[in-house]
This record gives sequence, C-alpha cells and structure tokens, in this order.
Amino acid sequence: MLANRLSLASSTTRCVLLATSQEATTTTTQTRQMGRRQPKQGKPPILPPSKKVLYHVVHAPWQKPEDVEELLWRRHAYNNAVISLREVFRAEIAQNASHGQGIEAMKEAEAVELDELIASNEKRNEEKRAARAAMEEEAAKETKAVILEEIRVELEKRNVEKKAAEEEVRAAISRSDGFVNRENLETKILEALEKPTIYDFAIDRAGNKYYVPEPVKYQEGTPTRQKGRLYDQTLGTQHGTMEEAHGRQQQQQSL
Amino acid sequence: MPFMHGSMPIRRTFFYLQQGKIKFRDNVNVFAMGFHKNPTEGRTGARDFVYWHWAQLQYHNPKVQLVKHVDKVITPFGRAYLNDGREVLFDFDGLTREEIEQTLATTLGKTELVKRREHLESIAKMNPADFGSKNERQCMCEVQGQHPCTGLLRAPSCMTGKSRWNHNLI
Repeated sequence: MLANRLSLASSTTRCVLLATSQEATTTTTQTRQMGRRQPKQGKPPILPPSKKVLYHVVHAPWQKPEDVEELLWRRHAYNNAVISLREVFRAEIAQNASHGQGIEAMKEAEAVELDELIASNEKRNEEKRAARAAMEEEAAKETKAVILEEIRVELEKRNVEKKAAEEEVRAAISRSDGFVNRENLETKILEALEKPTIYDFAIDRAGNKYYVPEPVKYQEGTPTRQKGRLYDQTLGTQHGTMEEAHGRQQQQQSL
Repeated sequence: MPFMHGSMPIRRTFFYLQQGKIKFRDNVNVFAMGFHKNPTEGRTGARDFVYWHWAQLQYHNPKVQLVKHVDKVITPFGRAYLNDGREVLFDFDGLTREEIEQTLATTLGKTELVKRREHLESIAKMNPADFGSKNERQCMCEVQGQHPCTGLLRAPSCMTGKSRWNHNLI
C-alpha cells in the first residue's frame, strides 16, 4: 500500500515538472525577437567558434598496455637520437671554429707574401727598364749615325752640283763677249738694222728651205714683177739657207 | 660559317674557359692591360695573351674589372689596382704569351697559402645542420645512426606520414 502511494506521488511530480518545462520553452521561443522567418541554423560568421569546437577534448581510445609501452619506448629513443645529434653538431662546430683560429695569422702571412711578390715584380720591371733604356740608347746611336751619313752624302752631292753650276756660269760669262750691253747697244742695233736675220722662208717635207729674195731697204731699180707668189720657183728664188744664198750671190758677183 | 673557322671554335668552348690558370687574389680590384694590335717584333706576346686568355680571365675573375688599352702604347704593360690603393705595374716587353700568363699567375694569382686559407674559411663557415648540394651533407640520412632515405630502404608504416593513431582528430 505504502509502495503504491509512493509510486503515485512520484508519477504526479514527474508530470508537473514536464508541464512546467514545456510551458517555459514555448514562451521563450515565441517571445524573444522572433521575426517573420526562422533564422538559419548554424553560427553567424563574425562570431567566435562555438564552445563545442574550441574546447574539444580528445579522448583517445583505449590501447593495450604493451602498445603504450612500445610507443613510449620509441619516443624516448627518438629524443635520445636528437640529443646525440645535437652533440655531434656541436662538436663539429667547435672543430670548424678551431680551423678558423689560425686564419688571421695566415692573412698576415699572405700580406707579407704579396709584398714580396710585388717587390720582386718591381725589381724585374726595373731590370727591364734599364735594359730597354740601354737598347734604346744603342738604337738612337745607330739612327744618329745613319742620319749623319745621309747628311754627308747629301752635302757632297750638293757640292758637286754647286761646282757644276759655277762652271756653267763661268762658261756663260765667257760666252757673253758678244752679248748686247749698255756700251755696245747702239752699234748692235745698227748692225741688226743693217744685216737683219731673215726667217721668212718656206720649208717642204724633205727639209728644204726656200727663201724669198732678200728684202731691200730702199726701192731701187725695177720693182719685182710678182708680189703675190713670192715662193714661185720660176721666179728664181734661192734654195737653201740665207748664208748659202749669200755665198752663192758672192760667188756670182766674183765671177 | 666563318664563325667556325680558325681558332674561334676552340676559344669559345666552355671547357677552354675553365682551363684558365690565372685566378686573381681578393686584393685585386681592377686589372688593365695596354698593348698594340700591330706590334713590333718581340712584343707580340701581349696581343696573343689578350687573344687567348682574356675570356678565361673574365670567367675566372668575375669580380675584377678588366680594362684593355688598345693601340695607346707601343710597349705592352699591365697594371693592377689593389683594394688598398696600391698599383702594381707589369712590364710585358719581350715576353711571350706563356710568360705573361706565368708572371700574372705567380705575382697576383692565388698562391697555395691563399687557397688553403680560403678552404679553411669555407669549412669554418659551414653549418653541419644544413643539408643540400652546397653543404657538407646532401641528406640527413648520411648522418651515422639516422634512418636511411625511404627511396633506399622502405620505412615502417608507423613512421610514414600516413600512419596516425586517431583519424578522427582533425
């Protein structure tokens, strides 16, 4: 009996609780900022991720103790390997640093070596310069000798030419006795007037010269019969040079 | 093809460029060389040197400024300008091409001391934790005790990226 009562009471309380909770949910969904449409399910983009995602706790599935032990052992082995690697690398870095310790001294030795090499090069340059100066001096001497020889030859040649010219001038002076000068100018003019040189002649292909009769200063006797045909052979023109003609005339006169 | 005649095809090969003997030390900033294109007798060495070795000089000394004074002087010369302001003059009068090369290589080239120092510096500069073709080790697998590359030896599935404890995690 007692048990029945208790069960009844509990069932009634449950019903009451259910009714009250249903009432509360219906009031909130209908009253709180309800628009015309139902909002879409899910999170608006500007909001932080939901609590469910942020604080997700991983619950690894149950594993066998042997597996866990094996994995833990592997993790330890891996960590130990990394530690030993670090040790190896540290040792290598220290060794490399010890390699670089003597570099400064080596650089100084290099500078000294370079100075020596440059000095030896300077010495070599100096020797070559001296040798070249001597060679150039020798070449200058040779050139000077050649130039002097050329000058000597040229001077001799000019002397010879000068002597020849002097000889020529002397000969010309000696030939100049019959030349016209101030003193004998009048007589020479008179001579020329009295005995003119006649170049009035004809010449044929064989080289024979045909003179006209010697011109006369003053017209004497009968004038010439023909004037237009002076070189007509029928008129008895002279044949040969004027001198020959003169000679012929003189022969005729002497005869 | 006139380009392939004579010495040009020899002179322009990559192999020939690599054969250059003159590697200037770091002190040299500028190297100038004066020569004549139609030299007198006994001075043809400088012209031949420029013809045969100038490209090799450029190849082996990319950080050195190389200047040619062509037909400015009769006597061939070389002049190097060092980084401390000094000038080194070379007299190439009467030298052959090989002698000029030898002179430059011995005077301003890298000596054994310089090469050794540079080698030590490169070692000191090297980080053992770097890997690659320009470093001491090509791959991590070359370190003693490390797992070889998967190309050489297949890794167990638990060590590959595909193996995961929980596929639902992410």
